Amino acid sequence: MSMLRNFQSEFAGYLLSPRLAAMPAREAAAMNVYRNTVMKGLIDVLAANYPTVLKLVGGEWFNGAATEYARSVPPGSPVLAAYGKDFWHFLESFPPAFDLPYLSEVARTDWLWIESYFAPDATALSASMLQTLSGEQLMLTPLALHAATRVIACNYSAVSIWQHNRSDNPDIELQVSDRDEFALITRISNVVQLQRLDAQEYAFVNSIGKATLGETAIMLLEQDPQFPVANTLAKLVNSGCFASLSS
Amino acid sequence: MTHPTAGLGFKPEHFADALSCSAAGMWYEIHAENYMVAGGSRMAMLDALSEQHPISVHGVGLSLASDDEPDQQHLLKLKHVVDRTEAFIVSEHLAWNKWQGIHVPDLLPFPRTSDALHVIVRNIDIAQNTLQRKLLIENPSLYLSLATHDWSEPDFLKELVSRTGCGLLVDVNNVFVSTYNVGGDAQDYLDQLPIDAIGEIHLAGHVSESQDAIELLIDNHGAAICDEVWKLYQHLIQRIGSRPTLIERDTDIPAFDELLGERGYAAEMMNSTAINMERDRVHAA
Repeated sequence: MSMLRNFQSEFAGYLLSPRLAAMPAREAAAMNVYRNTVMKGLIDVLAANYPTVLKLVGGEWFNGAATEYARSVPPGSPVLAAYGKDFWHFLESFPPAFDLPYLSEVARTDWLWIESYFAPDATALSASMLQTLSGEQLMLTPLALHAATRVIACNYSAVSIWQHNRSDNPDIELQVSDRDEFALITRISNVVQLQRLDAQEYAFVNSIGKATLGETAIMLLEQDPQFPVANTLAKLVNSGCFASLSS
Repeated sequence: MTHPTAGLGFKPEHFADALSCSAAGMWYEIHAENYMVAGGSRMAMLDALSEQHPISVHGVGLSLASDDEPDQQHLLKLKHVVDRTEAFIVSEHLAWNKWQGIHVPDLLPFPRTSDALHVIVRNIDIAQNTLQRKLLIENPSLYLSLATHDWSEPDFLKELVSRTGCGLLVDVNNVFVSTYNVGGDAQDYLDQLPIDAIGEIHLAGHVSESQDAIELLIDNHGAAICDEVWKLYQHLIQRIGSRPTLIERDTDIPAFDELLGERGYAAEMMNSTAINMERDRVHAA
């Protein structure tokens, strides 16, 4: 092992360990600067990627969770914009979060928002493009989701809680229940948006890419003959949900 | 676009002001890794900014002082950011931040041995070959005194320049912070750096922190630039002449106009130093 490698091996061991090994005071003070910089950097990235979680639990609680996560899952890439993709999952089994059953789903919504925010640029399917198709062509069209589109199904009113905490108008009273909730995240003109879906709309979006539009419509109409296929399609298209049709 | 003089570290919260700023010689520096994402508003912002102003790309993730070679995939991503912004400067650090697949957001020290020199020369060669251009290497801020250095930092940097053809990015605040923390004289350090290799200068603020009665200066980019650093900057440009100079601010970010004020101060200092140097040259002739 080279001398540089030896040094880096020992130094790296000090950085993320919960307690600093005994060493002379001057060395310990210096080592703590590096340890603090690393941990603060990682906590800041997680706070930027999980703003709703931070708002719900407050700085102290968040720092504790983020510190533990950073120690167990340090970044595997220097591109920290993508750091923390498992943090929502980590919160599911983080004992202090056991009293907050909605937290990991709120966190997952934060993460899907980030995925949408950084997703590749692509043209969305527009209503005018759709109008160029005949009804039959439309039914045979294999629609695809836009690269920035995400859907989420939650328990514990997590979508309501998320919206309430991200809203500019949080005065609206929050109704919490253990109902299932569904949401669609899309990006229109580079602005990420979240809107509520009902269970059927969620099933519609979730079937995209797995079946043609006609097959999806038949499936939904079998479950509910009143299902408004055309209106739902129009709503989703206007949200920028789908990728432009490849010609 | 005018010739780049003094610039600012780009902050997305200042996007509108940054884009429309008409100060002569204005340019912006970005941290490359923040723009290694697929798309969305962050990339759109960068495209708009680089259409209006010169961009310098400052990498923080290559880990040139690692025993391992730089990651090729990461280098290609860096090249993509450099090409996309038509960067006029590309820089990285004399530091490491990856170990066995783990990357940490810091710039870590190492013993400046001949063994390390050999490794870092190899790594800079690899990076410059992939990027197909010159890298400027920045001196780090140091907190830990190591007894095992074979080389002084200025000598080590000079050696990197002569062996790889790289240039230098001189962070004056880092020199001030490091010499305070681990010993040495800041002005003496700056006087040893090879004039022709210096392609950019960084200026930033720092804070003082104490632990167990041991005081260290922390390079937090979170305060105004102090008088001592301005004096060192003036001393440096009196010796080497004007260089693109960046005001760095990454925490406690004030309003754009406040940063523009510091940036204007640097531009003015560059300008008056150039006038004085010209006057001295005429007098001497």
